[in-house]
Amino acid sequence: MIVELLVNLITIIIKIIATPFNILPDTPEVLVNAMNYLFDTIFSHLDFISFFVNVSTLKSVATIAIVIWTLNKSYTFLMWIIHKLPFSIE
Amino acid sequence: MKIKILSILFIFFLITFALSINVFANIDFTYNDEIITLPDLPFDTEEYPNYGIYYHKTNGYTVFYARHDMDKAFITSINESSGTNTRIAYYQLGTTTKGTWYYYVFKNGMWGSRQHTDTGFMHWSQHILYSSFDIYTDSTFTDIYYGPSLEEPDLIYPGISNTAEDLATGTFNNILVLPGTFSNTENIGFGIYKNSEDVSDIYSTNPVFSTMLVKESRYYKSVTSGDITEFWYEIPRSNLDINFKNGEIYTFVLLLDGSPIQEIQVTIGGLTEEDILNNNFDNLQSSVVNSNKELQETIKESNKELQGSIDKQTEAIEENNKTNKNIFEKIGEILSYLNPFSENFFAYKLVELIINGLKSLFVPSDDFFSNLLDDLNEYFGDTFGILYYPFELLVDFLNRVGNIADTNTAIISVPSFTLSFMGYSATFFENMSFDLNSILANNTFKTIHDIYLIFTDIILWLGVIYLAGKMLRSIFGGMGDEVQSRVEESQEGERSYERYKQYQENKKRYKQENKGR
Repeated sequence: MIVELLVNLITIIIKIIATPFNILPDTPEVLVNAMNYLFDTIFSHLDFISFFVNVSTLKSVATIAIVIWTLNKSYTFLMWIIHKLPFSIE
Repeated sequence: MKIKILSILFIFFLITFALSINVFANIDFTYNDEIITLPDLPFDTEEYPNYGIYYHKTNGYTVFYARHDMDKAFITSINESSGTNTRIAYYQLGTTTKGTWYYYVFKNGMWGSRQHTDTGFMHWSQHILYSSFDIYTDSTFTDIYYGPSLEEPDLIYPGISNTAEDLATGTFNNILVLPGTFSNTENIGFGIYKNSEDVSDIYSTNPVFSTMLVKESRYYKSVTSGDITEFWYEIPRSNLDINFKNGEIYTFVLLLDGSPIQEIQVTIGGLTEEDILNNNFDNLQSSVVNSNKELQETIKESNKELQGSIDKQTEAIEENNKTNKNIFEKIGEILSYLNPFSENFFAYKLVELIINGLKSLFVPSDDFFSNLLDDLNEYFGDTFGILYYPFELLVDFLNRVGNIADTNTAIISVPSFTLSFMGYSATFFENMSFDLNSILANNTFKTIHDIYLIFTDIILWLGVIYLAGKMLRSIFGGMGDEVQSRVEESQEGERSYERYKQYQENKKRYKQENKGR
């Protein structure tokens, strides 16, 4: 409950801060369509990838790798914040 | 143990299912090491849903009974028949006040039917194979009742509808006999006896007229409306062949199974006091019958009330036992809260309560973060517009990667390549495709490919393990150890160099100092 409350509070703050950026233009439709077409083309012809690597293994490994990368970056970010606090940690 | 329980349940299910389909035909009985499968019931179980099947051993033979009630709602006993010794299975169907029907089967399984005289008496509660309805017993457990209720249905006996005054005229057109609740196959007889002062018992003389009132009788009349057929018997006076004279005394008698059930005595030309007295006696007899019937009903009612009282007492005892049991269970439960070796020990409960409280305080619900991320993604997409598009693209890419299916097809497709310029077009190559799986048709290549896939798996997992190890070292230490040692080596080297340089300078100075000597 407390975590949810804090996260919701942070989310509200972020949204308040981000509100002025509403004036930014949307992504051009042409660009979105082009990228979608590109991705569709690539991923609709990616069946052959299973010939070279087990897709199930690839998915598992990719998920774990993303989690590890996120944890590492989160830890770095957290330590950066802690070091900014006005007291020293031995 | 589990298999045994499942087997028993399965067998129970099979038996129940078999009984629900066709009860009688699915009962097997072992007799003299021979399994006898009882034949189908000789009556429609939908038309007569209340029936029971039971067996009894008599004279060294096993006797099977199937019985349904067509008129009675309950039966207190069944009759055991003394039959021939060739009989293997014996089936008795429906003993009613209107007659008895028996069915028996011989060893070859053929059905037969015949009238049979009841002999003997038995209780069959220990031998019930099947009953399609509830079974009751009285308070002394001597009689077994079965049926949807203990109420006996009303029974209306056949009767002559002509009045005594009408018969006394001797000029009546018909004698009308109504069947009551009895069927047209019952053994009903009608007779007219001429009374004489010399004869005290009219039945010791021959009747001046007699006939059987059955469906085949010429006096049988009926009318049908839909599925309902009403019938009666109508005997014209012309068929009696009796010349009634004034002063003669006649008795009109109705018989059921040979026993008189109604007598009307009249004197032709006008009823006398004696006629009235005799007819009153008939009414009195009817009153006695009715009284007996009422008495029986009262006894049955009393039995029912007694049974109800016993049931209530049993329920009260059971309720009391249940309450006592609940009290002991509660005491045991309370004691278990004080027992440190019990899983209900209050300290465990307290810890569990605290953990659950903390969990509800700090651990968000399962879909909280996924909903939050979706919400933020949408919000940032709307707010930051083109600036946020690369992130959306990344999310889209990852989703597409996650949706790649592990198919067995491996076809490389290359689209055609055409260039158009100023109305001219040139095609460099058409659509092309190649199925990589065609290579695997060769067993050698297939084996190599399998080994290759195993190696790629190993490499991928090793890569992840290396990545995880690297992350752990960076967080928990050990990541800069090598660097530190190199720094120390370098520093040591620098210190050596400084000493060497100092040595060279000292040497140079020493030489210069000794040069002048």
